[in-house]
Amino acid sequence: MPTAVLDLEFDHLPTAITVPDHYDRALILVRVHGQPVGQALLPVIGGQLGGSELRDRLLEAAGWNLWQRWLHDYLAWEEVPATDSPAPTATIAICTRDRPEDLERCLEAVMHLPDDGQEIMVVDNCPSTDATRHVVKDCACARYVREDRPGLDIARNRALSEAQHEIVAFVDDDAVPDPNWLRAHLRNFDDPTVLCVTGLTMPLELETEAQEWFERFSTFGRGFRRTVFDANTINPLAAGRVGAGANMALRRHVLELVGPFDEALDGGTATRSGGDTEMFSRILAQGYRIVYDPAALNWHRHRRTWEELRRTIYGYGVGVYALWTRRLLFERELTIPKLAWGWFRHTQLPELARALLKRPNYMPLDLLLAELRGCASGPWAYLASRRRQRRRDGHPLEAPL
Amino acid sequence: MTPIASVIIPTHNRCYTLGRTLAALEQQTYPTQQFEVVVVADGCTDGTLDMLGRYQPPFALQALELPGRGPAEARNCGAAQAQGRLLIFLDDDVEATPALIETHVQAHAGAPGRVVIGYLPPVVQEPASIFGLQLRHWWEAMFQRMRQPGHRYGYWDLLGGNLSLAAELFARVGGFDPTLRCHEDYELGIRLIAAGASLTFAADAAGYHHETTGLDRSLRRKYHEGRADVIIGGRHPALCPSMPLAYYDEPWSPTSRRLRALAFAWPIGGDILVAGLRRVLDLLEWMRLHGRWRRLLNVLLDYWYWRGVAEELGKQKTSAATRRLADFLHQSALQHNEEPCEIELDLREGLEVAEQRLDAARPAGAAVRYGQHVVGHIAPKPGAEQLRSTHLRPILATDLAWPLLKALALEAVSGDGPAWGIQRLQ
Repeated sequence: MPTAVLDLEFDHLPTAITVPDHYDRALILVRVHGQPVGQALLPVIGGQLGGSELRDRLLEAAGWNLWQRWLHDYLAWEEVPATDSPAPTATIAICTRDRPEDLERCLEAVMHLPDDGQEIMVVDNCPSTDATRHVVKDCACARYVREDRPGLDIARNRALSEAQHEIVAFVDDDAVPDPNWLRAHLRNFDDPTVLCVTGLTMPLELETEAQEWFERFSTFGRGFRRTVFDANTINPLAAGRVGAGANMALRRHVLELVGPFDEALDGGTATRSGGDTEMFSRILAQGYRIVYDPAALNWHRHRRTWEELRRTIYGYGVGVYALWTRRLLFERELTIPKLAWGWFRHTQLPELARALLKRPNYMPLDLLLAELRGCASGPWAYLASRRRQRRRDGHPLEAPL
Repeated sequence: MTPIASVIIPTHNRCYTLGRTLAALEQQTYPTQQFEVVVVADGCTDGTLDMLGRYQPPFALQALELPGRGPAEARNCGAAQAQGRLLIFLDDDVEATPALIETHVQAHAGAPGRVVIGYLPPVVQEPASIFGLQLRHWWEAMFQRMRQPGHRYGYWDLLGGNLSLAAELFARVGGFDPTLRCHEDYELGIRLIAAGASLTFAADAAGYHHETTGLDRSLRRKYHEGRADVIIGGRHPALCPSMPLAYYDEPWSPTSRRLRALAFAWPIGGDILVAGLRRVLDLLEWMRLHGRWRRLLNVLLDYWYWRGVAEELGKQKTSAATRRLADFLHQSALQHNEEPCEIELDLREGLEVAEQRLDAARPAGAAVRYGQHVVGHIAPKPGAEQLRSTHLRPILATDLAWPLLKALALEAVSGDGPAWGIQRLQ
């Protein structure tokens, strides 16, 4: 049962909305004066959606955020104040590996962002063909950087060191940024202690069951309220809450202040994910701040097939445990076992029980098991990946503390 | 030629850091003929004066000597000898960025009675220790608050380390209070705000603050803050509610409650116990238990604050133990009985009109309504500056958001409020 994804402005709601017949639900992003304030999942009957009920349902779903947004407009007041200092310029970095069609769509959207002097850079990670290079060549204003060592974190580090501007905004090759995306990121960097800004990621389409489950199982969205995180408000070891690498901007300075991304982590290595969360966690632990701003919106095309979904979920399990392994063995964070137990006891185990007993809204058992299998192999994957990376880069092996 | 600005640097046995501070002043974008530097060496035994005697700066330099009177008197002494119309107070551990003096001077152009607080980005000694993180976070959070356009300044925003004001204003309010060894800048802030000075923050007047405060020094400082608060509270009774000393009965943990009682009843025992807990802090840091570390540090800081309060009150000959605190607060409440000035604002007349009325009246508080509907009360805040136009919208958008929306919704029946879905607000 596919779900239509709609993007509606509350002040100009259409009287009736027609969607293709095969949709029986709609996921609606609600905006007030361009700012995302909430989302609603509504039934579609006979391809029709709308009427007086639509307004009420959206109002209900967005709740206080919508009222607050309206009030701020009435007061002409912004939560993030406009200051006298000019906004920094940015480099937009797209790290990609053998996905030319996705990249083309992403580049198309990136080029249509308002021009504030930003640089567009495509980091082609360990490509097997020339397709990516050709896509970038067709688009005159993007810069092509080739990184032959495989690994998403390696590509990210390359982007940080190659970038011409102070802020590096990362967007995944399978995502499409909203027109206000970059500006929304940049307005948060006025505070010198903010090293990273993350944004809201909505699904680009929910056509297959795998995409719908991804959205339910591990959504990228982190709500519709702007939040400032620091080590006093969130445990740096549980930094997944602040956002995801599919939509983040970093100060290039982060390389000197907290160090580069851990090249033993994330896509392209045995650990499959976790590089972004590890960076967030280090930023927070070093006393800097991360802002989550839902106005920095992009749309992500989730994997379409069930097999890809299961692999992704497995990879998340591996990534979390890989990053915890790094913290426990190499940084002596003794609270890791407690954290892992808490996750298992309060989230994973109850979900598993609900799936086995087929309770309402239970998660598919094979996804839960894939995540657990991922967790179990995470520590070994990290150690193996680290060893491989050390050997390749010619560093002597470093023993755990 | 008389200089326009005088940079006053009090120093005490910090020859090395003073050298860095002076070297940074050689690099200013502001013309060197137009400012002078007054260094007040207060009780220095490390050759600071010899260093100053040999030093040949491109700007005019006065070196004064005092026999260890504390930073307040050192600054007053420097100000008395200063030639410039503008005084810039700089601490000896602050390394000015090249635009510091120029930004300070420009911030005063055409704005008499202004007090400019410069940005002090902290450079922490051990940035990776939890204490280092905490310290940097504390400083930056304070500056971030001041960076907000609608910030309502209070005396607690006045930091003496990088500060400028007109020499005439400084003399008019009477300078720093030399009897205070701590919080003398806050106390000056109280008198400046009472005299109608307007505080502003200048992010570009930045000086790197080479912060050397360690954990133990910061605990000791808390003790002095407690003592200073009693003295300041005695002098400005109206401000007692803005100080922690008015909240003895509201500890945030049972441990704190007991330690506070101990600070009054049996300080020797308290000191021994707290010294033991200080060791536990190191253990917690080693175990990376950040949350527990932070909570324990707060307990210790709290203890030393109250230890200082108890000590200072103990000097006053009255009845025993915590009775003294109660008497002290009671008396300050009695002494302070003048009604703060408040006005009424009707937002239906328009936000701009309300803002103009605030600027015209500069009240301490305001009752806000929209037509016939009450929105709320902006309470007078002891120790904060009087309300200005820029304060209004941030307060309405945060503290009064919900009642304002309700008032707007009720008003919307006559077609003024948000156009949609009004009835759902009820």
